[in-house]
Amino acid sequence: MPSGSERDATTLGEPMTTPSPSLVAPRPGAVTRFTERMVAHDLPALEPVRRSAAVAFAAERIADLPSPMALGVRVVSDVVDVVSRAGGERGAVAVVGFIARRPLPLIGDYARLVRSLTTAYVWETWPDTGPDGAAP
Amino acid sequence: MDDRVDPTRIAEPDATVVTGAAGWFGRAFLDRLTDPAGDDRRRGPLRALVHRDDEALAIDGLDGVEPVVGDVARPRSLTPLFDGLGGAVDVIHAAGVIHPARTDEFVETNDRGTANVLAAARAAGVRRLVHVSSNSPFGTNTHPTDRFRNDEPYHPYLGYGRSKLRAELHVAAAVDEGMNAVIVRPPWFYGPFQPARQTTFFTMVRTGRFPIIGDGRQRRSMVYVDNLVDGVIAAELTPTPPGRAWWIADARPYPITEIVETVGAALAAEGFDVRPNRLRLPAVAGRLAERVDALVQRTGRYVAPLHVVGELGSTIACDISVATAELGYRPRVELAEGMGRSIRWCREQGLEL
Amino acid sequence: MTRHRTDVLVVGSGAGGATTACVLAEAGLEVLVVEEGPYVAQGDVVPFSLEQMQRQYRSGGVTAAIGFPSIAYTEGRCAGGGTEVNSGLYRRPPEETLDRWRREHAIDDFDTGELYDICDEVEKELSVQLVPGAATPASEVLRRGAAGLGWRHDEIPRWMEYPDGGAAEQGRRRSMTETYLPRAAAAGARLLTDTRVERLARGGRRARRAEITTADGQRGSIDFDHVVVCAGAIQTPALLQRSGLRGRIGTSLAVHPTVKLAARFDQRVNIPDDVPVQQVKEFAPDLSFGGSASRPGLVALALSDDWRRFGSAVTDWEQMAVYYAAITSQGRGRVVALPRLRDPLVTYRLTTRDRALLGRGLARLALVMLEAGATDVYPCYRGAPVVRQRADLATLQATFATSKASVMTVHLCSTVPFGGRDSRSAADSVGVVRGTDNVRVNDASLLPDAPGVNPQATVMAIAIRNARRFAAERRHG
Repeated sequence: MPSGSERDATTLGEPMTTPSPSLVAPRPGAVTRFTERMVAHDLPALEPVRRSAAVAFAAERIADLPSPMALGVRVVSDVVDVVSRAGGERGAVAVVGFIARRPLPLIGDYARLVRSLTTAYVWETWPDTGPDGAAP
Repeated sequence: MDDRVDPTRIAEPDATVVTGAAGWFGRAFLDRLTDPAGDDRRRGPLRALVHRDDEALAIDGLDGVEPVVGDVARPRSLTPLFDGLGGAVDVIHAAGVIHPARTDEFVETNDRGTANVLAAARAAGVRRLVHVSSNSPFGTNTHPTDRFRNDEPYHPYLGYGRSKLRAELHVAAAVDEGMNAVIVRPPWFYGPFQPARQTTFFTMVRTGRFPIIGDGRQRRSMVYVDNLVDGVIAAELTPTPPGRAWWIADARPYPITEIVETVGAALAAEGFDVRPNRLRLPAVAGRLAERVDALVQRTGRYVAPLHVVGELGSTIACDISVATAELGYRPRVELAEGMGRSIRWCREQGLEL
Repeated sequence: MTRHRTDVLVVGSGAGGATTACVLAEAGLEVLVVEEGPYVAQGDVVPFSLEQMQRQYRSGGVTAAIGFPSIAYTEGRCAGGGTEVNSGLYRRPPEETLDRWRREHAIDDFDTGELYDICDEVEKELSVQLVPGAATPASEVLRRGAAGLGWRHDEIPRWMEYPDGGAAEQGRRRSMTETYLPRAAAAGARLLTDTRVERLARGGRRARRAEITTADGQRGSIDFDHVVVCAGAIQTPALLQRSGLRGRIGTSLAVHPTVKLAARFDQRVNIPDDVPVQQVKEFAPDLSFGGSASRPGLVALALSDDWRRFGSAVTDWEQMAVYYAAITSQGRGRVVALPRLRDPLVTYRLTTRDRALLGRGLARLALVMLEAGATDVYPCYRGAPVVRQRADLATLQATFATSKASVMTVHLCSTVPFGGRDSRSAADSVGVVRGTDNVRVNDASLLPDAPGVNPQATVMAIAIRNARRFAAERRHG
């Protein structure tokens, strides 16, 4: 019989392995692509450097989501990515435009998450930005 | 005895104009103002707007009452209401439709009708106007212990609620333009001069067939019609700033089960044979009736029983403390007493319960 | 593989953990506090900024209870926990709430007088006081609006220290890193930050060892005689579940669901680094209104529910502030630790009455804004009307649906409720987890339900009570 302390470590539950991040985390490429298009749609006048910073911020936050949320975002962001890329550039713009305007279940939550992160970032960093993203 | 000091009142007007004079409140109001033995007897003319000739006949005999047949929806018919009246004139605007044949009547009578009365009153330079509104612009309470405060956000309940909301907005606009107008908001009435639908309500309780929805703990504020008359007079004669609005109701809201039991007990006390109430419907039935009511009203039609059942599952309860503080309003009659008086009145009228 | 050894292990250093550590250390026990987050001193970051969210909140502040709709929440994750990042508002537990808890949950020896005496001590230690000087314009809005409507309101005190003659903006928060943690350290307690407890290994009813990982991935363990878990209402049940404890743990999460609006005024009202201290209590405990942090990023966030229609208001952010309507909820949620995932799944279900109350609350709050002179009110839900006059409130109530709104909560409670009745509680009347002899909980998880007021005072009073009972037991045992 194993001695007391070693036994305790294995009697309960599974061994503590850290799950592989790639299993649950949203794909950075998919998230970045979608976020860029959302920001371009919402804030068309935001200059490219600022847009990149906002997108990077959102992607970083999304990469750090609690694992159950990350899993959900992973699934939704993959679906959106596949659908967007199927129609080429114009198709992608149309898809994101559609999502940005319509309240869809799950996809809508993903869009709202992205929008809330980028919006908070832009106005926290450059408070005098105009509603379309233009610098004052 | 409480030693609150009631606000002093201004003197009665030289003339009083009442719209909706043949209605439930209107009749009770005229009754009070013409009662020779009472404190509220008015000396000047009481111009009473009624819809039909037979209604005019019914009130013609009351001392000082001058019936005028007209329609609030038709502005020209309102001119005789103010003709030849000198001195200070107060208007009590109680004309309205609650259960119409068609929903357009809501707009014609409650909405446009109020605008018309306000315009005519302004043109005649009246001293003060009291508009009788309703709980309906505010919808229902979110739960049985919630109470409508004196000031609440609008949440009109269907066509009636919307029309009464618009009536309140007309009053507010008139106040902005300099008119001295105030609003009284009564909930569900009971008392003498009740219409047929209230008699039906008594019959349903007597036969044990009044539908109690859910657990029956939802509260309803009610107002005995004489309490409402007290409140309207207080609103008219207390010199508050224009634009104020008050809930006028009995001292506390009553749970539906208590209402049914009290009515049953009052009927029994008057010698009726009352069956125990066994009709219970699940809460979802009330919500279903609400939805169907909304659909029916969208087609322009109106089915009163559907509407009433749709509201029976809800709490509609208000807090009268501001009316007490600002007007000295204190309800003198409560449910058991008031229901007893109503039943006796029905008897005297020869109504079948 | 680092091994530690201690008499008492305290997991978490927030309102529960810091007070527990302090009481036990001052009673002479050997205490080791393990904190998952970093140590960030007050003043190192701007309050409510994105930097603070990244450094002192779990997942950068992006955490949500999944449901229809999802409810966003935040967890402090740093030395001092939520107390380092919250608004600092302090309200004693209402007597009715304590009575109800005692009665309905059969909490033994739960004396209101004793708890209020502890509150007295805490209020002194934390320097609880009203803001000196004139009220900020954003606070004044609430006061003016509520007073105009005849609705009860009050100024809520905060645990802040102000320099002599200093103004509101010069306050320094008396958070745990400024108060109970230094006291605990002075009494000999050790604090280990950037260290996460993965699991408590047990043998039967006794837990013996905590398996830990540090921020740089190093593994280790801590052997202990007693453990007090104070990781907050989300992480505490998750840790217990990962340790094989399940009974009624994580099944009754209670929150204060909150909806918001942004209001614009004719003059400057925005106070970027602070929150208003007025609360409208007319509809307590069901509804409560107050002010939220309103940095420009947060004003923009409030407008983002309908950016296309509301976005243009953002240029006036200096004349705007964000306000909230919070409800006490009949609904409940769950915290479930999932195998192989670092974070638990958190869900929440709002009842029909919760949803109706949120809509009514938002409308009443909008009325307060109008009464206070707001020129435009932007409710935070998709499809909301801009409210400029009372008639617009009818449109608000007709169009509001919780599923369209951004619902959030900053208060999380009740996932390991305590009490004397087995059937209703997961821990006993002093916080010992059922089915164990030496595992205690001493944070907001113990509260039987969300108290309808800012819970920190309640958490601290109960934690100190429980810790003192424990210390006395050790002395006499």
